[in-house]
Amino acid sequence: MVTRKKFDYEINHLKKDIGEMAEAVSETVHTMEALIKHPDVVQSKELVEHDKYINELQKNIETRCLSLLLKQQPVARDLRLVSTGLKVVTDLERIGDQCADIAEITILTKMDDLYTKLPHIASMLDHIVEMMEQLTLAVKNEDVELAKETRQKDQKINILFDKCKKDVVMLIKEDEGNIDYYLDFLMISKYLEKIGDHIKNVCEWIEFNETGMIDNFKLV
Amino acid sequence: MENTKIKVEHLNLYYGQNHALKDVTMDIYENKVTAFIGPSGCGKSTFLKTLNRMNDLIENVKIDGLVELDDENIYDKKVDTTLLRKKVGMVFQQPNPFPMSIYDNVAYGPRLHGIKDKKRLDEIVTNSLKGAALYDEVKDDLKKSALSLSGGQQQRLCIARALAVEPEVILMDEPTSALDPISTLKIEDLMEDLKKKYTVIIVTHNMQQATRIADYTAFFLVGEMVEYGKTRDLFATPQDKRTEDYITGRFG
Amino acid sequence: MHNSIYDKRVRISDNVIRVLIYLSAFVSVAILVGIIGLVVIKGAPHLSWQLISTVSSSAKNTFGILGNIVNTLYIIVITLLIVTPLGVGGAVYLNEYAKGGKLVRAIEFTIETLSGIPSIIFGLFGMVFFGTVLKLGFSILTGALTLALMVLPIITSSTQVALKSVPESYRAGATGMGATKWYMIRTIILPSAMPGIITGIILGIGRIIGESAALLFTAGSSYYLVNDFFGHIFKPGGTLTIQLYLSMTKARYDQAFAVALVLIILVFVLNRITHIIANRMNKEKG
Repeated sequence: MVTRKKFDYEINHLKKDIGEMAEAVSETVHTMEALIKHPDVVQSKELVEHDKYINELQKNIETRCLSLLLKQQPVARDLRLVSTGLKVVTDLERIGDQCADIAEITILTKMDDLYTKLPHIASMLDHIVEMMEQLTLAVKNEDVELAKETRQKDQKINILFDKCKKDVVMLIKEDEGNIDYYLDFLMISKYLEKIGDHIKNVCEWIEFNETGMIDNFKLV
Repeated sequence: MENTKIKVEHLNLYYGQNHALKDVTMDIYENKVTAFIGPSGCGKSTFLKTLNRMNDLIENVKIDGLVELDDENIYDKKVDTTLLRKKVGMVFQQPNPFPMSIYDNVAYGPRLHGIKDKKRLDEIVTNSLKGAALYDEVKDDLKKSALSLSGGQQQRLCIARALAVEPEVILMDEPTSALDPISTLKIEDLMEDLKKKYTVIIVTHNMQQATRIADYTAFFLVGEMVEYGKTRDLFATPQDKRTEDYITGRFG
Repeated sequence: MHNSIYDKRVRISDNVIRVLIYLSAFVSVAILVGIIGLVVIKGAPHLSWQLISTVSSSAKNTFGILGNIVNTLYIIVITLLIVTPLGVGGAVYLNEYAKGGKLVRAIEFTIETLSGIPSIIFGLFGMVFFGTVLKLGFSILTGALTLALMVLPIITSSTQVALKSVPESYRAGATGMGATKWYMIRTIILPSAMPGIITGIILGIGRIIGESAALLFTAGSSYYLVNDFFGHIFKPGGTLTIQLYLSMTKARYDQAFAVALVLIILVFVLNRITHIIANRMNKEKG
């Protein structure tokens, strides 16, 4: 029984927009992965451009959410969706930013040694790409189970980051002349770790959208 | 910890053939604001009226089930409805001050219950008007006709009139639906104070109003109480699909 | 410019209707003014202090209507004393206590019929029942009782209309406060219905003052003054209208117009008094 046509149209549009933004960010993550493996100036600039598009999507979604709050005073699932919308765009946008930061490093720094010097980076990157793909699916299908599964993978990322950090410390101890170089490696692994955190946050909000709870805490 | 003020168990009400309330069971808590929401004709007003037996006036009404006020069955044969309604006051949808002075309106209940002492009445009138946040606006001329007040003032006068008999429960049947937004907000503001002393039960068509003022909300649909719980829970994560459809406006 | 609003039209049918409405208003007022004017012009020359302060005397060959004025007031007051509680009480029963059904419809039908019966039949009934059966004879009381029957439908129906117009919300409000039915009727319903009841009383007074047929054979046509205040009601007494009728049958049109003028003044004064009382009641209500 549909009686609020305009409202339903807006709500569906909002869902579509969030899905679109997740997809755009996912694309950026893929590009970032490619850049780490094969640094490329042109592609790197494209990524930075793409990030601007993501920022625009964020603003659109925020505007739509605020306008819905103002005009429709949503409750129940609508209220949860609108607040989810407002929260996830921030995390998604941060993922985009961090990809752009990594892209810049890949241009300024020689990437050849990264995999050999920091062996855990490869699996970190694999996990991130996989998580991001799952996240995009979870967002588009409102799949809470998938979101839950994805969120749990962040733990692995954190462990891998700790290993990377220890490796960097060792590298610096052994080769003090190249501190800057190794710090860039650390930065990349730190950015990847942050991306993992943001993905986890978005997953939590997808669960909230369904249950109204975050970490077993009732938010509304 | 919430104390139960009114206990309703398996309440059924029939208007002739029409089964208007179906097996309603709920506890209404002391010193809380409880809101009844639902579409027109869902039985929420009918249910409200069973709580002080205003339905007695209507013919062909048959009620079974239990309604207890402080553990006393209000439909018991020994119940004196005058005493019941002194405990359970009522405010109506349309402000309905009597065609007499402000003072006499407020003093109506106390006089009805036998208070004649002028000093005592003065005190009750002043306190009740203060309780309804109307005193400052009318204190200069209590002899003025109640009908000369604005709609919002009239409704607060009706609240004062209900307070004057020192009730324990106040029933409000869409008390702001005939008022402008500012008067509505004043009365909503008043609820916060009222619930400190009284148990307030309000029927409202305005769901935003329920979210603003009510601690608990019950959703009614065609005579059935579909869902009842803390207002926050009901409006954020309703458990029943019908509740969700209604409060999100997808109810045809 | 067809779209402009500067194109004021003369609408003929509107104007015709307006003229007709003004005309009918004018005619109504003219008739009223004409009647009162005639009565004043013809009656005023014969109006004198002697007329209203004495009773007729064949010895002195004088004409005076003090007795008739007093009788009229007696009949008005007594009739109202009998009929008001009865009529208001009946209306309150019908509207507040009776729950529809055959009995109520039967009572309402009876009251309606009562108001359609020609007054001479009331006179006949009053004479036989109150006069002969109850042995009250020709007396002001017999006349007043007879008139009470006639005025009852007026008071009852106007009270009923007034009660029906009392907003349901007042009843709900009072009941919600725990008021018993009678307490609510006494404190809210009747005071609110008072203007309607007063209107009924004014109409009733009009009926009483205007009545002659029903009084001729019940209260009689006596024009004497009786000193015994309470004893008076058991004595016969003709009202101003009866005297007017008698003067006309004797072709004493000078007397008739003088009496008519006094009647009109009396009606006017009584109406004013009733209104003043009603207003005072309203003010007390606040």
